[in-house]
Amino acid sequence: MPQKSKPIDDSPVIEEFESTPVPERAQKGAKAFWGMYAGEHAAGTEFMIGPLFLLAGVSLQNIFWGLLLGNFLAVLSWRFVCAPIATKVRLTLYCHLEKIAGKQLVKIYNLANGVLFCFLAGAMITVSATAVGIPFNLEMPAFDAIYPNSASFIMIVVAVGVVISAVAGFGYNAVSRFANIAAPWMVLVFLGCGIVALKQLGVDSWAGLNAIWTESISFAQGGEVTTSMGFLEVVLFAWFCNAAMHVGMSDLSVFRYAKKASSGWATAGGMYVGHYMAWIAAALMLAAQIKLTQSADPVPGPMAFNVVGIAGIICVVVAGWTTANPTIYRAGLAFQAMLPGTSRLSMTLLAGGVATTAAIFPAFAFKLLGFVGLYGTILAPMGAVIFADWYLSKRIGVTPFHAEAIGCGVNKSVLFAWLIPVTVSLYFIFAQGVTTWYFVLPAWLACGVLFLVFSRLRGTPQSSVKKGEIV
Amino acid sequence: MKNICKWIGLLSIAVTFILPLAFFVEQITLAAMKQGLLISTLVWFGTSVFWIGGKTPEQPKGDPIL
Repeated sequence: MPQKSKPIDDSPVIEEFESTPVPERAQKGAKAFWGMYAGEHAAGTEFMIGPLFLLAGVSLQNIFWGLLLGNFLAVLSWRFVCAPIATKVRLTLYCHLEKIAGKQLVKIYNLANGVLFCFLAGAMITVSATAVGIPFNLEMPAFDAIYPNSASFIMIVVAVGVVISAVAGFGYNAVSRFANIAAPWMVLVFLGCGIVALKQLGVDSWAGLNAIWTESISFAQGGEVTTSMGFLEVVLFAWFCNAAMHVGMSDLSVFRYAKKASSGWATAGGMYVGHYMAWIAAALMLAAQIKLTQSADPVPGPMAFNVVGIAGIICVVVAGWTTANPTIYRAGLAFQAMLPGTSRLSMTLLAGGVATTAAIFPAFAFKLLGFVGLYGTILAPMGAVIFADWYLSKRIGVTPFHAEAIGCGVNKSVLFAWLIPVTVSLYFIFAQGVTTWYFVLPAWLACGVLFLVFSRLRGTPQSSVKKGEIV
Repeated sequence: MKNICKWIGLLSIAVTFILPLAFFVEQITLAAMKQGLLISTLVWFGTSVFWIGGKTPEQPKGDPIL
């Protein structure tokens, strides 16, 4: 029997199959996924990420080719790592992971997810606030700002955060519907921003664009042209900025509805609309702003206003709002899972409070490139456990779905396989200052290998495991 | 009514696409393009509420994405 749930307070009862495999009648063709990915990846954060490439001194060639390749690798990861398992098992990430890692460990993972979601939502609130502040002549924080630059900025961020959190708590479904309506319009406004910015740059050839791009980098860097991201870094960033979703298996929850694993190709809609066209358009917006106003601050509201006027302000607000809402909602659910007995509303408001507090500090939004890598480094390795458990455990004599088989709450093989590579990565990131996106793939591979090694060493050969036996 | 809203909405989204291109090929001014975009935006949101997403959500639910 599929589980009937009422996931959202103001919605009719719908079947979400949270703890049972999605049945055939609820499965969907690839068409449903193309639209979904194209719309959802045109988010508020795209307005930040594109300009940050320019500020990092990335060459135009590396942006065009690096993003092309990196996004293709991301699509392949969805298609060949995530979607095949999703369409065979048809369970959510949490349900699947619970069978391998145990219920308590999944709660810890869920909490990590929730906290990181709060910071992500915080960046989206900052993005929206930069647009809301324009009619009030709000002075925007500078790119290197860590703390808020004025009381007005704090007030606008708090106002935006309160509204977003309240809506996430009380009327999530209405926002979900509004996001569907806004998606095609947002994609076209992103495209429009790029076209207008290109015109404002006044270039008529690739060489001209390249020259003005280099000039923009030089201006932003105070007369120098140095880069902290080459071709490899751009590829890795594009590949792993959604690592938690593809190799991290978070999108098992999405593709469990797919009729065939080939629906995984639909992620190309999201990657090449949101993470290619929109990033490049946003980067060109900053170049145009530098040319027209001599300001290199990558603040989304004013940038969008300069190129497409009030429609741009609306787009920034809507893009930030529609993506911050589900993020806060999911973070609230994660907190609620950790604290049984609390209401979803109070936990959603708590998550909104944490996100709003983070949003007050513009550094979270301006350091988004690094944060996205950190997000992948911490969460994605769990996907390797699922991958290794599904494809390799039987071959080396380890029981698949070990926690379910023996009924344990924390599978220590999974716990240490996850903690060791993540801790080592965090040491290099925070103590040695190494760039975050170098660590996603090594941590993922190490986690998968360690999981198999620990499981084998702890000796749980398939034949000896019986339900209820604690190893 | 629903059909009329649908056609007006589709027209407005087409205009949203065309206006930046028209500015790019110097057929309209920046100010006219910005004004046109605002109008097409208002028309899109004003009409699409009548024909998009009124029923149970069709899309599979996943975690939020960047």
